[in-house]
Amino acid sequence: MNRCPQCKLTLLNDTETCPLCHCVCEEMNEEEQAAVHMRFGSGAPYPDAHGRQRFKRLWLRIILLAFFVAEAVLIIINHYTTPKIWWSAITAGAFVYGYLFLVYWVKHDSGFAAKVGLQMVFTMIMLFLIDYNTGNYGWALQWAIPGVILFGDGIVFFLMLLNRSRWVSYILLLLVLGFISVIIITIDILIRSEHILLPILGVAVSVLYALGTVLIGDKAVKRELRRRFHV
Amino acid sequence: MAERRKRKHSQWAKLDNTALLFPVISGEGMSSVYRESVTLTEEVDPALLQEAVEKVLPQFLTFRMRLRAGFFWYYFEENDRKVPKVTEETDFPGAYINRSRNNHYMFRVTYYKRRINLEVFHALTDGYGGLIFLKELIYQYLRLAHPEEFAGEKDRISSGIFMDQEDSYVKNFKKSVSHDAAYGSRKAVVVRGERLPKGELAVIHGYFSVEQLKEVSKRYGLTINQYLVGNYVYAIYREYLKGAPSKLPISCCVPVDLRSRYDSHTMKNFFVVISAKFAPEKEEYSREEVLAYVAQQLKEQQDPKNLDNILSYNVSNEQNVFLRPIPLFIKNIAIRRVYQLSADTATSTMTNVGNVEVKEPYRKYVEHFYAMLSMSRGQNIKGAICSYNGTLILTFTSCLTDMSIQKRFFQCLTADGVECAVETNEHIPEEKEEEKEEEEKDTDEPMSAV
Repeated sequence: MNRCPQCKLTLLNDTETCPLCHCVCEEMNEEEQAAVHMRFGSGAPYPDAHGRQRFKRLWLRIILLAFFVAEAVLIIINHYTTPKIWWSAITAGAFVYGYLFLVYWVKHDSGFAAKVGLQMVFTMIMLFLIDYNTGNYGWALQWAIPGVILFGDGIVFFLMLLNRSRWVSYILLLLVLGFISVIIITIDILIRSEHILLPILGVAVSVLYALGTVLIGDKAVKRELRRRFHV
Repeated sequence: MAERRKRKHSQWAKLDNTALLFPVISGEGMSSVYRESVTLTEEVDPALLQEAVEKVLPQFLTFRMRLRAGFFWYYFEENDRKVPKVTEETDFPGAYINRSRNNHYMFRVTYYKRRINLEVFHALTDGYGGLIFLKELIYQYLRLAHPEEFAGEKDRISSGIFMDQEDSYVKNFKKSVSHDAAYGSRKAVVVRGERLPKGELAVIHGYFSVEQLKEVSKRYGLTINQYLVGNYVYAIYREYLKGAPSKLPISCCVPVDLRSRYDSHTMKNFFVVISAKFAPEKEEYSREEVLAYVAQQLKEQQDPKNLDNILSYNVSNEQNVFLRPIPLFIKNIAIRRVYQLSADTATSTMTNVGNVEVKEPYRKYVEHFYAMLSMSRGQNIKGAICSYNGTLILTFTSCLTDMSIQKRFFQCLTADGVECAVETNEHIPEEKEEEKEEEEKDTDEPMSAV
């Protein structure tokens, strides 16, 4: 236990300099120490938390570095093999997308259903944009997005099985998928898409699945919806 | 537990008025987590502490909640997942509580040597609710650690504790008032400087005798709270503004517990924030002038009519029938924006959780209580006061490397004759402690070799 002659403070930490003014402290004799101990106790030290902070960010940076290295290699391969087609731009986009979602999954503090739902919505938007910017052939609305919706229904089913005691918490995700599937089929009909088999399948599965869950779930679903939609 | 088994479905609750803000603005960078700690006279046994949490948590519905997002509002739902694991403290105080990695609970219990820490996400409850939980946790822990001594004490929470879950804000809301009538909208000084690395927090505890503080405050004609807040504002004025005039005021927020005023016993949040503003217009102010000015400000702000106005303004937006049915993601954008604007009107916060009383049979095992706040937008330094057994502990938390404000504050108090001991969260490596012990041994031995 030391004392800062400048600040006139007793330092419960065992430091040689005052943490406030950085003045070298004077040692207290046993009597003085006992008096401080009687009055204020002996303090309670803290652990070293610096290492943990550094480690927290390290592995995400390692992954980012790996992405950079991989993309650099791909650009070199692209340059020497097919210099006229810059396919490495697509891989760069995929790395950015992958990294951002990795950060989102690791850092964002929301439930599994919310993360799955948001990722699906972003995937649908990304698929639509890729289709739109590469000739607008309509494959996103006719095949890819309905495929994502069906895949989403499958994930919800799997999640409900896996987490049976809280199955009702996935109902909102199911309703969102049903709603999106209705929008997709409506757009497909309005723009007279050639292939609407998968969108129809998507809307049929999603709506029937949602309806079935609401009917079978009865009070549990009503309760969940009342909570989710309380104004 | 029996009560819980009987119910087939989980309970749920709307967020109180203050809690509405925290889920929107909180994240890794701004945790909205406060810490209340206790140091015991003996080392903490982690297994017994875990057992204590498992026994106490089922009795506190407030802490047994998880946060869920609805379409229009967030809400709480009873959490039936496993009790969060008690861990040794390895992080800086007030670190973000990642709910999905904490079984969706919004509090954390950690320990280090003789200290037990309770860290709470502010949406759950305020310092009052946190302290009640912490005290019951300690009682339970001590009953487990010393079964013979506390054989007569039952493993249940103390009688006289209110488990009220009412939203006292809504209950006491009277009429809408304008923003300026409640808060004022003038921007305030922001204490800036070189920051500590992300996620780190500098903590400094100041230990004072309550008796001495009372005596000195009385000398100035102030209450202890007014004296401490006044000195804090003065320290900012001297060290950050260098005693120069400023167009922007130093605005120190002081949370005021409303329970006694509105006869409430809620376990949820129930406080409003008042602020002592000091705008230095002339060249030099003495400490006495600043203390008197701040005390006057606090007195005026604590006027019941002003507290009513603040409460009413806070609740008025929540009660607005046109705002209620707006989807949550739009509300979040608006709430974030409003928060950013209001955050610019505060320099710092100094909270006082009051004097902690511990039941007689447990008192001899309890040394100190501490409270501390995490950082928020525009407030890079904050203070929290807690007193127990005649010792008042004021804890400054800061994300800045510079500690001159804290230094000035403590120097002001020692200049008034108040004895003070300080302790920081600076880690002392064990080798250094060992080296010191060896040195001490060496000096005890006769210098025969020389």
